Amino acid sequence: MRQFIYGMAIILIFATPFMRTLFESYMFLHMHMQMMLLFIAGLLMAPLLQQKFPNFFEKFNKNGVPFMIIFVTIIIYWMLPRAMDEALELWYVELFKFVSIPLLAGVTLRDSFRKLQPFARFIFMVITALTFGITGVLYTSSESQLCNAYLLADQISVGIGQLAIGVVILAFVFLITFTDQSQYYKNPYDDAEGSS
Amino acid sequence: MKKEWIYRTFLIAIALLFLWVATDGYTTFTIEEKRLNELRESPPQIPNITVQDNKDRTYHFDEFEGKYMFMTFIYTNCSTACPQMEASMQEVFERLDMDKYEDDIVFLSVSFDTERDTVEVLDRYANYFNVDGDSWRMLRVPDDNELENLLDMYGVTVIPEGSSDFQHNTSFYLIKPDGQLLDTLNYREPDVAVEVLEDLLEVGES
Repeated sequence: MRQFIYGMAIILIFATPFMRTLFESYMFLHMHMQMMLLFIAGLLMAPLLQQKFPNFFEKFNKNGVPFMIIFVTIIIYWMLPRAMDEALELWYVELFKFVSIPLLAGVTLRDSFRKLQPFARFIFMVITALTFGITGVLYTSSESQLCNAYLLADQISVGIGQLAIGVVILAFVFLITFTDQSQYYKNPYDDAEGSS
Repeated sequence: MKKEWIYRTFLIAIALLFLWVATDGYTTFTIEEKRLNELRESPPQIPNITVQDNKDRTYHFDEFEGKYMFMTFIYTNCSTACPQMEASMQEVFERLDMDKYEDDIVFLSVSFDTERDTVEVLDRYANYFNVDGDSWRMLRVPDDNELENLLDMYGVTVIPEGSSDFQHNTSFYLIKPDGQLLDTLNYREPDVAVEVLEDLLEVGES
């Protein structure tokens, strides 16, 4: 319950006009602070939703794969330069951002992560890392502005950030693939969602 | 098990459909591409606003009625894209046989930094590119509202960068004699622009 309140609080605070203006003024604040915090808000909101609607999660996300497909789709969408610009221009894209990132990326990932078989988890994490890596290369190497609303220099710094996040995810994949996680937990699938 | 696969395929189909809609059928990944597509689909009519050129003459846009307009948006303090774009425009200008097409086309460079780009500044800048002031003119728009309106119409976004620079999107705009936008061209390809213009003007001649 407390986690849910924290998550909700993050969303509400970041939805205020002041915070939106502040966090959308620079590309890295928009993409790597605002969107990341919305994602974390989603992670925090997951347990209560799982408690309240156990049947829903059991029925539609039995082994974790379905929600991971949604998760990957949503993060790919929000890495399109066009989505960023449209969030600034169109109110419904902005609204979609505040709904889709917490619910369709944050909640889905937390629910799926512990249900996934190790191999599927490995595959999805590599896909996620690759998505960050590819957009990172795109943003750092593009000679023209991809987002009309942001400067070229901002775009390059965001690209470097994307690459860094990709590397961190890959490092985490290596960590959980080549170390024996069971020594840290009673049941490796019970509580492995800690870092993501 | 079979059911599970149907469900997954369904979700992937939804995901692909969603991304398809979001990118207009996997064609426009940036808002700039979307903007150019929209301009192509519903070409705007140039507003008849007041402009001032580098020879300190003031007139309305209908001065150029009956001529093709080859237009760029610039500011003279720019150190990156604008000089490249203007150099490319100069190449197009010099390679076209202007003696022959003088009455059919006019080259226009419109400044959006009205405050600093005064007539004198524009005229000095014009000299760098051998702008003659007749078949190629540097323009400023004295009225802020009219300028905003013009930039809006062509989807030119200008963001201040630091205290003295702007970042903005760049293209060649080709406008028909009746004032409607015909096409936008890539400023990095002066060859293409020359070809397009020659084709157009040849048809006009005969």
